[in-house]
Order: sequence, then structure tokens, then C-alpha cells
Amino acid sequence: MVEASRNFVCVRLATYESQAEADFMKSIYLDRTGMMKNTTFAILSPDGKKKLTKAGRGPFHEYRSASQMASGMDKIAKTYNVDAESATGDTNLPYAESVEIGLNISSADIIPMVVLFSGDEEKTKVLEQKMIPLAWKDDSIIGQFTYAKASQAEELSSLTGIEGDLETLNSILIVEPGQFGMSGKVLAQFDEKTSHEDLKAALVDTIANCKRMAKDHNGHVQLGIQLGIDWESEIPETDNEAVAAKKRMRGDK
Amino acid sequence: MKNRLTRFKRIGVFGAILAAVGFVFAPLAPGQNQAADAPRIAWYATLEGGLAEAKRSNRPILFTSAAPQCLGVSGIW
Repeated sequence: MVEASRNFVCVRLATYESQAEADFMKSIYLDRTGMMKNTTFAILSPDGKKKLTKAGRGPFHEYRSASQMASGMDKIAKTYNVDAESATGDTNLPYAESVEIGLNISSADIIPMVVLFSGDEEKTKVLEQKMIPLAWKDDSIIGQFTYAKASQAEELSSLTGIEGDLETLNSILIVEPGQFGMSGKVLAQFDEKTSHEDLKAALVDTIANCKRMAKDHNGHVQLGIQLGIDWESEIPETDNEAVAAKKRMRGDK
Repeated sequence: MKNRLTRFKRIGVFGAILAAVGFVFAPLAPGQNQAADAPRIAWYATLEGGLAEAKRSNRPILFTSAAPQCLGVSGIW
């Protein structure tokens, strides 16, 4: 299915982190009571307006197995004449909304993160041109990182190990996320003069060697509650069952 | 607490999320018995970025959403 996904633009939004995105999710799927749920799934036309499969909370509304899903996706891709060039020619990085949200996603996926930092828009573009070919055309790197960019020093406040003056820094930061995605450790740092080879070598080394914490779902949640971790999403949760469970588990009335 | 979590899982929300996330995102969870360099789906994390690329390349969209927190605890789908 990963192979089939290469012919698609794969969009996975963090539920409850943007009102505009929530409005879009609502246009895709609502439950019987008209509420947006924690998860949404559909395959959509390139303009995002037409559903090409049933929509629901997950792909099981349309497909019975991953192999059936891959086969179905291949058929859809053929109708759009997707070729190899368009499938690997993405012109931008798949940034998260912010470093904060990117770290959380990175931790949840148990993959490292790349942060582009510069206060200068033109220099950010130079950094992007270093990363884009690796992110989309290099099989060893596609899908292996979460991406975010920042232009203000305060956006990097959850990262440790940054070298240099943030006022003048222009860097690609390779980051290992913390267990709860609320902090990150910079493993490597490159400026706009770095070579393709050096950057690739560091990314590949990170994929192989960064610390990946296996997570037991219940254990992670229990520990997080004990530690007082309480992620505040951008917009209120609307999934009634999840909201009620959160109140029960945290002792809220 | 564990019993309450287990009960919650049975009543459906975790189940639905895990089914949705696990089914689509199984290739993404190296912590769950997956090699570090296993192939993974490359996700756009914003609607703006994903839609722009889909329109530019005329590729269909594999669309999903999930909350990277459970009961307010971040770092987990």
C-alpha cells in the first residue's frame, strides 16, 4: 500500500488543530448526529471536491484489507494517468502547521523530524531546495521525516541542542522528538552551503540510529496523565465519546 | 485506571481510531515491530499544502485525519 500511495497526494490532517481544516473534514464525513469525529477517511479527486470512495472514520468503510485497498488505489490512479514524474515532482515540503504540531506528529509516528529555520524568506527557499529532492525523489528518505519550518526564535523553544545565534541562523535541523512530542533534540544541523551528499548522509544516519521509543498505547496514555500532560488542541474536540472518556480519566466533572 | 482504559477501548472510540489509524498507518509505526527504514507513506500535514500539490500534479488525494493525542496525552495516535 505504501507503493500505491506514491501515486497519490497523501494528506493526513491533525484533527482539532485548525478551524478551516475542520470545516473541510466536516464536508467529508460527519457521524449520524452531525458531529465531526476524531478520524476521517476518503479518497478524493485532485481538487478535493469529489469523493472517489465512501467516506467514514477509516478505510474499512470501503476496503476489507490493505491489499484490496492498494488494488483499489491503483485503479483510481490509472484514471488520472499519474506518471512517475508527477508522482515524485512535489514542489514543496509537506510541512506541519507549526514546529509544535510537527513535533507531536513526529512523536506519534515515531519518526524523526526536519525543521527549516531562517528569518529570511529567500534563505528559507534555498534550504527548501536542498531538502525537496531528498524528501520526494530519494526512496531511502521519502516518508521518513515530519517537516516544519520556522522563522522566529520562539518557535524553536521546545528544541534543545541548537548551535549558533538564532537571530542570524539559517539551518536545516534534524530533530529527534521526545516521548510525548513536546520537546525535541537536535541531532544534526546544516546551513545553506551544505552538500546534497552530506545532508543525505545525515538523514540516512538519523533514520537508522535515532532513538525510537516503542509505545504501548494504554501505558503511554496512563503515564502521560500521571505526568500531567494535557495537550491543548487549537479547537475544541467534538467527538462526544472521546470528550466523555477524557473527563472520566482525568477526574474532571 | 487500566481497567477503565480497557473498558473505554471496548466501547469503541479507541477501537475505531486504532482500526482507522492502524489500517492506513500500519506502515508508519516502527515502534510496533517495524524496521526503522521500512517504507512509509509521505503525508502532507496541512490541507493547504496537500491540495496545492494535488491540483498542481492532478493526483488524487488519499485523505485522512487523526488526532495526535489521546485523552489529552500527546505523542500517540
